[in-house]
Amino acid sequence: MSWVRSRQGIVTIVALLILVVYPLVMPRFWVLSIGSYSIILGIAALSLVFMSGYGGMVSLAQAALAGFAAYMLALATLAPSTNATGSAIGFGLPALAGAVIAVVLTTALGALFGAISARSYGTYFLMLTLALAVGFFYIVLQNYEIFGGHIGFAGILGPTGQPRANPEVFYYICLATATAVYLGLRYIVRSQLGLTFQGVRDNPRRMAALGYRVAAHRIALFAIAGFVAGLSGVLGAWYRGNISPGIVDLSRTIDVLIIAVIGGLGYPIGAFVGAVVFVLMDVFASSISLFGFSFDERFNTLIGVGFVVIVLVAPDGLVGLANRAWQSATHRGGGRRRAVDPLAAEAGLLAAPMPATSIAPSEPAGDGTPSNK
Amino acid sequence: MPKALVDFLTVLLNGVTLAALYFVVASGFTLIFGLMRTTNMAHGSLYMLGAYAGVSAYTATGNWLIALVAGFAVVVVVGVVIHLGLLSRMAGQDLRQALVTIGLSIIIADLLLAKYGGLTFQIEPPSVATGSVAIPFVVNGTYSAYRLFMIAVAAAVYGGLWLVLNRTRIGWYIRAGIDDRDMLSALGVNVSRVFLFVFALGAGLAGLSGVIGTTALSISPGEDGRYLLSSLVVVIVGGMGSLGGAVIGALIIGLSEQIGLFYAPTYSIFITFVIMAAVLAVRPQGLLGRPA
Repeated sequence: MSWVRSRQGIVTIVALLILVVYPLVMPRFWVLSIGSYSIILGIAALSLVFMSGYGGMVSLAQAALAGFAAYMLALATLAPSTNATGSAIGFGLPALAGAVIAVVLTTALGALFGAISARSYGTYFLMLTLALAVGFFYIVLQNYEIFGGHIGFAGILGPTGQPRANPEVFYYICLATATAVYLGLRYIVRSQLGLTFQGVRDNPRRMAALGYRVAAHRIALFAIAGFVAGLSGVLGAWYRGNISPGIVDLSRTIDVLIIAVIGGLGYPIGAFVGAVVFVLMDVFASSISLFGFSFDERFNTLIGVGFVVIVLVAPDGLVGLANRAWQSATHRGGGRRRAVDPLAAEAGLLAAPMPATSIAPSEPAGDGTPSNK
Repeated sequence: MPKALVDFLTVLLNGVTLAALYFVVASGFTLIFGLMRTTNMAHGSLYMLGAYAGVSAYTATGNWLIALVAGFAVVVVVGVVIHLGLLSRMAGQDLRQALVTIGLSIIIADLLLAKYGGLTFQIEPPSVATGSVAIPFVVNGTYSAYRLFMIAVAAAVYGGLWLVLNRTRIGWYIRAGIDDRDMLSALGVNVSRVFLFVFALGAGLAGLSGVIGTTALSISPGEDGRYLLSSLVVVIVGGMGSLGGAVIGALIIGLSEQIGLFYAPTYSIFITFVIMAAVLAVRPQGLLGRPA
């Protein structure tokens, strides 16, 4: 349908224009603490959307991977110093070299996580990745020799120094990274490799019977997601200037999932929509009050309730809601499309591959697939 | 006896008593999963809810047993509400249920933080298990009576669950439901009522273990993650849905954690994960788990 493509084209161009002009017209706080931070969280959520959309793998390890990248960046770039246990840490490399090393190592860790979880599906996979994530949190919390224990590291400087010194430049670094990642993932999912990923997602047994190496593809998918999460981790470390176990704790781990679900698990752009909504709610929760109950300090309750409601009533997230609203506005009456429910679809797909689900692919035809296919 | 051996035996006993706690926590988790395929990601938060309910009851009455019952009962009620209000409406949708329980875990943890603040609480052990017991082969020759008492509690929970599963009518239904849910329903059994019973019992076990754990260690915000992690690792290693697997998984994790803490303190969690990865490499369904 060419009109969809042209509408998408127009929306994309307008959105990019707004994003480019944004830091020139907005105050500093909005550029850095809302704009850049949303993009950083969005990249982390995008790595999850990529895994769940094209691999059927709903992972909770993305915050841990991003945190690992931040730790590796800190170790690579900070000046050698002696830590609490007396061992010298830090290699004093330039920021960009450290970033490359951090992202490469995070890709490798993604592959390792993939190797551990390649044979697990559905909620097993969810549990296993959650265990890996929480385990990583306790490792960095306990370990003073390498990870600096509960203190972590401070004084991480990006290529442009403190983000606060040049908020616009830092914003453009984040925006350029996000655009490159988005286009790169789009390229991958349209390539033969991307189609193989989707085949492995929909029917691992049949793909194995066709001679594809299912486990290897799932590991590769995890490694690519690790690369993306690593970029988010590097930008996040530059943004904050420090890294501590609090960045990879259980609630941060779940935040990435919440962002992806709010935006819409089936839609890559949803990662960024979800991130903006999440950050705005975080910033403005104090000014929201319902029935005299202030959310000033109860941000987690607010976000938890919002998350449960989205999972219950709008399983394809805000982007899915917007798509449906647009469709019912343009096709009044007959041509209405069914709501896409990525969770219900995946519940069948993600369950350990059983004959019943293997015979009939439960992926709805056409518009049931994620938006950029 | 040489000191190294005494140290080792003490570490071993610490590991077994910790395993007893991990087993009680994980038993509810694995029970729910075994029948309903529901991954209750709020299990750690329900542990914390039971713990705080126990703290409140103990502060009011000073009686450990009342605290234990309160921890169990409060979480059973909350479990019934969660199941009837949310989970039973999305039966068969594993992933959506898991996501909803993740949302609930955040809400429960946040509301508990609002009510109890960031303080650390403890409950005094019952009078039968106060003080220490003389054991010749451990450090100082004495060992905490309560930690030994935990082994007895874990054995009682195991025995009780075994009896329920193997000697009662609802146990037959549960075991039949694990094998073939649709056939059980076709035979005229009200499966949704069996599900409700199992979910309430599994949740109640989380609350019960919260009181037991708070007596041995303590409770403070953030502990939900720790017990969710231990439950996950125990059932991943032992095998989802298997009570025997939970025993073996809890022993492996409890022992490796304590041995790691003593001999390589900053790498103890790492050792746990190497074990988990090794088990998954050989048996993805866990040691006693059945292939999915």
